[in-house]
Formats: sequence, structure tokens, C-alpha cells
Amino acid sequence: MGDDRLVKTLEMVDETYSGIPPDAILLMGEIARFLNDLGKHKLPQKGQGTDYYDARPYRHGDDPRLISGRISRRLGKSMVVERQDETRQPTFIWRKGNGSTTIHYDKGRLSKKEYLDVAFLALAKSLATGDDKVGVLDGHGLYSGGSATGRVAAQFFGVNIITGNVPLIGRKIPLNSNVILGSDFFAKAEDQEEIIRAVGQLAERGVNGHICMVIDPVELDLRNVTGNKRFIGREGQTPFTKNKVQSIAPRFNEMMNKHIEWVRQLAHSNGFKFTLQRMDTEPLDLVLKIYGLNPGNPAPELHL
Amino acid sequence: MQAMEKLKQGINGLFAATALSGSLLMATPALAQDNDNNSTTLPEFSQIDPEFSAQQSAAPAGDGSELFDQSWLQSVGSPVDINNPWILLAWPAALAALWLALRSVPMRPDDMEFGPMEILQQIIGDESDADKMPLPEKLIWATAVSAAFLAASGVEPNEGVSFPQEGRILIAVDADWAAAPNWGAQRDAILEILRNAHNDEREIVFLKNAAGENGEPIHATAPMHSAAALSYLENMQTVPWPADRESATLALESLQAEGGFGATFWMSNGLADAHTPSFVEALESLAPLQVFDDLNKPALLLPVEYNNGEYLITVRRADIAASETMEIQAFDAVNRVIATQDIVFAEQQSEAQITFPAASFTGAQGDVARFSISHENSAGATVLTNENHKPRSVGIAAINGRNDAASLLNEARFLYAALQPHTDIYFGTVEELIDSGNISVLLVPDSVPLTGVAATKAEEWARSGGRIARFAGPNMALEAHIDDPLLPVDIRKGSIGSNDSLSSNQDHIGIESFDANSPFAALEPEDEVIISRYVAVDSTRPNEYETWARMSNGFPLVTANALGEGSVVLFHTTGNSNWSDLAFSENFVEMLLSSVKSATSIENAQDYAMPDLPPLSVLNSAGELTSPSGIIADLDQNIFESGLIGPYNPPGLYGNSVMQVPFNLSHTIQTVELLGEMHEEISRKYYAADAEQNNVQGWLWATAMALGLAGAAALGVRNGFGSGLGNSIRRNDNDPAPGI
Repeated sequence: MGDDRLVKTLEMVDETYSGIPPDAILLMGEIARFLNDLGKHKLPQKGQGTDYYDARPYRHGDDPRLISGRISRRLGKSMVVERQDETRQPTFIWRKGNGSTTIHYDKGRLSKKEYLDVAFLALAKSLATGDDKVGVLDGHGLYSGGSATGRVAAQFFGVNIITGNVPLIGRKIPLNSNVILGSDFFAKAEDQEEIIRAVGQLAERGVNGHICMVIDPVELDLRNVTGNKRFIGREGQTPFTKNKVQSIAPRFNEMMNKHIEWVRQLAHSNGFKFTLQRMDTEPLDLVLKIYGLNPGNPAPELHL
Repeated sequence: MQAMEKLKQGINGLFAATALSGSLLMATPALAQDNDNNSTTLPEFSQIDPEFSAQQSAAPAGDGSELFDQSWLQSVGSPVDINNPWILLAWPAALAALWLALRSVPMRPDDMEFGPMEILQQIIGDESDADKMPLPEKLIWATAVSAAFLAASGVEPNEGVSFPQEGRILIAVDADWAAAPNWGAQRDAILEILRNAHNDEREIVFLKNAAGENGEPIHATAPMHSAAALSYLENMQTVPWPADRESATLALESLQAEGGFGATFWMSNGLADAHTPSFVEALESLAPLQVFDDLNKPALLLPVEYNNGEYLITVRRADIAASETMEIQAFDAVNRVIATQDIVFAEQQSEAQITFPAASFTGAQGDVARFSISHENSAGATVLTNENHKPRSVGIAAINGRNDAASLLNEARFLYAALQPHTDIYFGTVEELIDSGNISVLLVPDSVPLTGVAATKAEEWARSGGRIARFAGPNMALEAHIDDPLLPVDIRKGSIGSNDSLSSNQDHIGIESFDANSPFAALEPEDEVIISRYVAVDSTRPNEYETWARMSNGFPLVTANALGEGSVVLFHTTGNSNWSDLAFSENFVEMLLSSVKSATSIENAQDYAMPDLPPLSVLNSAGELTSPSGIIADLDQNIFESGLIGPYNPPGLYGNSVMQVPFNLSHTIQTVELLGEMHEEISRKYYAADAEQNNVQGWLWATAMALGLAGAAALGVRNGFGSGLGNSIRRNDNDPAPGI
């Protein structure tokens, strides 16, 4: 019986990986091995842990909010409870998997979706091999160990998982969980409200959030696009035709900068970390930033 | 005059500014001409004698547009003319409409998938703004439309003719055989000079360098105004003999005393002769000279030689700069082409030869009447080939050398009467006649025995080319024997009467037919001829012979057979009225003449004096056979030998019923040479080589079409069939990247 499940899981993983370019899978493995070579590490934690450690009498200087009413009543004096960090703080990942993240601007470059798949699955593999639990934010289950990567990937690419512009949070998110969101955050105005709401909900749950905004260099600076172009967007969007595209590049770049700033503000206002990641950098660079191991390589500034 | 010059300059500048993309400059600067008839329609004027017209020239010239059908542009000396200027009125509107239309033609953009569409929408809004047609493409279309308008409006260049000095205009014209092929262009050039002379109010003096068709001598006309000059030009025709520049030079020298010439023009035929330098010098002595040359140099077909069953054709040409292939056609007497061959000139080769095997002709050898160079419409490109001009004297054999023609009933009398008006006739014994060497045809009546020494000599003579024509009769019927070499066929002993059973018991026997491949082919049988007795072919013998005439009962009336180089002919009935009344008929005369005419001339012609031969048909300057006019004289031996071709003896066929003499232009002219270099003061121009070079409208239409196609191709590449070359869109979101 156990063998059957194992086979099924492996099949599912194989099928899942078939959605990722072979080179991307290799790249993902290389990143994970590189992370493991860095040694045992954890994602930066937020706040105090929730696991019970000890109860002691209240001392001057203790935060009155730490006094436990139930224990104090039982013992007849003010008692405070000391807690320790969770040994396995789960990590939830989400990436936008449709629309603008599927575009290949350059035949030699990954799409944003592929780029995030590589980076996040590598991160998941690294975490899972370190006995951390990893899950998909709008999926189900938490996984660790060798099979975690395949299971996470299966949920990334599962046909029953609809990844829109915002994560659909239908599961319990433990306090201080790590939540990593990857997207370009391009959306219509009404969807932007959804994004704000979803991030706000996550912040209310006290998660350790990290917003990874991936942008293609073409989108960062429209001066790279010239001539007579018909811009084709997501399905259902009306294409735009524009001649002398370079003439609108300054205005576009300015508005793109505002959009990035909006995402940055969204992150910061909810206590999330923010990373702007150019698509012409390696996915490993993004993973290191998530770990906080590559702070000296921030996203390049915009050239307006 | 100064005001006129300013006006010309202004118009020149206007056209220089409006000419688009050099279209106007693409055409060969030459005069317009009517392509079909190779001539320009001149205004209709009554035929005016130049002398008379000169008297009328005191009257002022009329309005130029009436006289020359010229436009205002031409009348003011514009470098271009426009036949339908009203079409150009729509030109600006069409260009404006085209420009507006092209502005609305969007250029197909390159598709590009793009993520931040919301940002784009805020910038662009809902209106697409595609690229429009680039300016170079618009200019291509505008140029195409402009070229089409110019073509439709009939733009054509006006050949500029300048008159360097004040004074009359002298136009010397080589209207001879060599000018005939391109006479239309030459006349157009003259017309252009006349038009400019008219606009400049100049008098014109013509000098035709060749004698007129009616024998007019070469002389300059009196000065005349445009109207009379037009009429003179209208009546000017090329002639089939060469220009006489020696006489023309004398005529020019007579003008030197008068003076007062502002310009001289030599409308040359493109060929030089021995008198060309002095002629040019005489022209220059009157006024600055402008020479019109002809790019199409005429070729010359030399007299044909016939040897050993082949016609040797020799062609000479003047322009040897490039290799060239000409087509030589052989014509029969009724102007049908019976053979064609190419003759090839290598570079720097002035003469080429080919041979026409007589056997290659579709008709009989004797049917070849002339050879011509295809598409060379000149008298020099045609040679008449009739070889019957050599004498064919006839000897009538008589017993003992007596002149038996004295007897009315004697056969010789009938023979003499039939042939005497047409050829020389000698009487004598067979031996005497043959030994004299004066005859080509020997007629042997039945009363003359052809035996013994006479037979031996006659056979030897016939084998060397002579023709023996024998007549049947009682003697032949009695003495006939098989294998007689002096008979074309073995005949039965005895004669056959019309009532004999062998003759099918017909009431009377007449002439049924003449063989189409025989010398009698052109003859028509007469119904009145009655043949009552004849000798018949011995059908038991394996005979091979020709039947030239056949009786109504099917038996041969005249048979013939070759004998060595010569031939023997047998009339199967008598040459007098004993056995038939054939000797009284026209058919008899015609049959005798045809027998003589088709014989080979072998007689000693050293002392032969060619009789005066009347013209049968003459060549015009275009090399076409025409009926002779009344002015044409008989061709005598002196003219024939000296080759004095001219208005009184033009090239053609001269002769009588038994003799025809071809008198070809190449009998006189043996070479053709280019005009060669001239000194720098002489302005040299060329006639329009052909209509295509002068077809400005054609060039403009071609330009319009080419540019239109180029514009359409550019549009297609940009918007249509080029879409698959790299603009494909991957719409499948699951498409993986091809690589990292």
C-alpha cells in the first residue's frame, strides 16, 4: 500500500516537472544544492515563538501582556508565561501563474512564471531538506523531506489550482509563518484592490511576509522597444497598436516606476519585505535575497 | 526675339521643375512618328510646284497651329509637347487623393506580447495609432501616378532644331534607295525642321540629291515658305536609284552666289560615296551644317550567281561594328516565299555569303524570281534572278541547207512564223547549224532525217547542253526505232489516226492539259485544236520520260527527256497542218516559245547584241515590283553594261517573250560605306532608329507600372505575405521557453 502511494507520488512529481523546462529543473537543483552547501539556516523569524517554555512569577519590567490569567488564578499570584520559538515554522509560497507572467520577451529568457517556479521550488527543496515545512499558500498540506519539492510542484502546476492575480487564502496560516509572494502585480484596478486585501489579510495573521516583484527589463524601460508595435496582453484584453513606441517610453517608464513604488509601499505598509527582481538576473539571486543572504545586490534602480 | 527666348527659357525651367523622378528624361530624344505606316501625316495641301510655291512665299505664313498642327508648347519651342494637356488638370487632384488615401493605409505593426497593458492603456487610451505608409513608399506611388498621368497626357519630347544664323534654311535630302527603309523617320525630321523654320519665320530651300522619278534634274528649289515647303515634302518620294551627290554639289555651288543661308541640313541616307566630301564642303560653304545620320544602315544584296544547282547569295553591309543575322527569302514569280535562310555576319565582317540549293525550293528551279533581305525594304535589298537574259537562238534544220520555209506547207514555215518575232532564227543542215555555234535550240521537222553523221553530231551537241525539238510525221512513223537517243521516248511504228480503235474512237482529239511542272505550266489548252494523227509511245517499252502536254484521249502530245546536259523534246504530231491544225493555234506558238525559253543558252554569245528590251516590271525604292510607268525606256545594251540606273531605267525586269534581263541596283552599286567621321563644326544627329526608341509614352507607362508593382510589393511585404517571416505570436501560455 505504501509502495503504491510512493509510486503515485513519484508519477505525480514527474508529471509536474514535465511542465518545467528541463534546463529549469537542472537550474533549480543547482540552486538547492548551493543553498544546502551554505549550511543550516532558516528564514528570518518574526516576533516571539508560540511554544510553551515555562511559567514564573511576574517581575518588574515584564510586559504585563505576558501575565497568564488562567495560571495566576490557579496559583493565586501573578504568573507570566515564557515561550520559545517554534522549531518548525512553516513556509507558504505563491506565485502568479498566468497572464503577464507567462510572456517570453526574449527567446533566451524564462518567463516570469518559469523564473519564479525555479526560484521558489529551489527554495522549497532547500527548506524541505532542512526539515522545514513548505506548502503552497492557496493549496493544501505542508511538506518536508525529499518528496516535498515534488508535492509543492504538483500543486504549483495542478490543473485544479487556479492562480490568479491574488492568492486565495482558504487554509489556516499559523502565526509567524513565512509567506513568500511572487508576481509582477500587473492587474486591473479592481484586482489591485484584491491584492491589497489579500496582503492585508496575511499581515493580520502575523505572517513573516516577503513580496518578490519580478519585472522584465523590457517592462522596466520601454526605450528598448521601438517602431510600430501591436501590444498583445492577456486573453480578453484588447491589443494596442502604437507607432513610434519609443515616443511614449518616458511616460511609460515613469508610470512603471509608480507601479513598483506602489507594490513596495504595499509590502512595507503590511510589514512585508520587498524585493524587486529583474528577469535578466539569475533565480538564485532571488532566493538569496529571500534568505537575506544577498542584501548587497538590490534590484537595480530604474533608469527613467 | 529676346522675348521669345525668355519665354522658351521659362517654359524649359517649368518642365524641368515638374518632371518627376526623371521620367521625362528616360526617353530617347527623338521625334515622334507614326509607328504603323512609318510616316507622319502631313497637312493636306494641293500639290504645289516648288517654283510656283516660291512665288507664293511672299505671302505671310499663317497661324502655326493650322499649318503644322502644332501645340502652343511646340510653337514656343518647349522641349516637350503634351498632346492631351487637359488630362493634366486632374493630376494635382489625383495626387492629393492618393496622398490622403495612402495616409489612411496602416502599416502592419510587429506583434509583441506585453505584460503591463494597464499602464499602456493609461498612456495610449482606446485609440490605436499604427504607423502609416513611410514617405519613400508614398513617393513611389505618387511617382507612379504622375508617370501614368504624363503618359496619358501624351508627353513627348520636342526635338530641338537650331538655326545658328539669320537667313534661309537649306535642306538637302538623300531621298534615294538607301533612305527608303527609314524614310518615315527622315521625313519626320524634315517636318520638325520645317516646323521650327515656320515658327522662326524662315524661308526654306530644298535640294533633293537624287534625280526625280520623272527624270527631273537635281537642282535646288526656289526659297519657299512653310506651306509650300510642306507641300513639297508631302510629294517627295524616295527613288530606287542612288543619290547623285556630284550633281547635288554642282547645284549647291550655284547657290553660293546667292548666299543668305542661316543653316544647312543634310538629311543623309547614312552612306558615303566618292563625292561625299565635296558635297559636305559645298554645304558648309553656305551655312553651318547639321547632318542627320541613319542608325539603320541599309544592306546590299549583290547579283545572284547560279552554279551547279546552287544559288550563291552575297550580302554586303556598311555597319560592321556588331555581329548580325539577316534573313534571306527566295520568291517565285507570283511573290510567294519558297525558301528562307539566315546569313550571319561576324563582328567586323562586311560581306557574307550563303548558298541556296535549287533542290531546296518548294517550286521548280525556274520558279525563283527574286531574292530579298527580310525587313530591308529597299531596292538594294532585292535582286531579280531570272536567268533567261542569255540569248537562245533557234536553228531550224532544213534539207540540204535550203530554206524550206519558202514552202507554205512546209513545217519549217510554221516554225519560222511562230518564232521569228521573238528570237534569232538560223536555217541550215543539222551539221551546219551545230557547227556554227549560234544556236541553243535545234528544231527538226519530220521531213529532215536525223541519221548518220547528223544524228551523231546532234546527239553530241545535245549532250553538251543543247535542246533538240523534233516533230513527228510520216517519216518518223515509218522509220522509228527503239532506243533512239534523239527521241525522248520509244514510239510505236506507224501513226494513229483519230478514228483508229487505239484512239478511243473519239470524234476529234484535242489538247487535254499541260503539265504543271513543265515549261508549259502557264499555258491554257485551246478547245479549237484538232489533232487527227500522231505517233504514240510504245507502252511495251520501259520508258521514262516527261509529258509536257497530253491529248484528250490520254496519249502524250509532247514528251521530253534529258540527254546529257541537254534535252530532247518530241511533238507527237506534225509541225505543219498535215496531221493537225495545232500549227495554226496560239498554243503552238506558246509551246514553241516555252520550249525555247526553258532551254539552256549554250550558243556563242560573244558577238551577241542584246536587243532593246522593254520594261516588264520595275522595283520601287522599297524593293517592290511595280508596273513600269510611261517614262521608263527600253533597256539597251549600253545602259545594261554601264549600269546607268536612273529614272529612265530603274532597277527591274526588262525583256520580251523569250528573254528577260534583271537589271538590279547592285549591278551599279557594289559597296556600302558609312558616312564616317566629320569635323567638329558639323552637328550630327540621328533619325529615330525605330518607333520604340521614341516611344516616350511607352517608357512612362512602363515606369508607372514598375513603380506601381514596387509599391504594391513593398505594401505586401509590410502588411501581407511577409507576416509569416518572424512576427508569429505564441498565444499558448503553456509554451515553454526554447531555452535558457
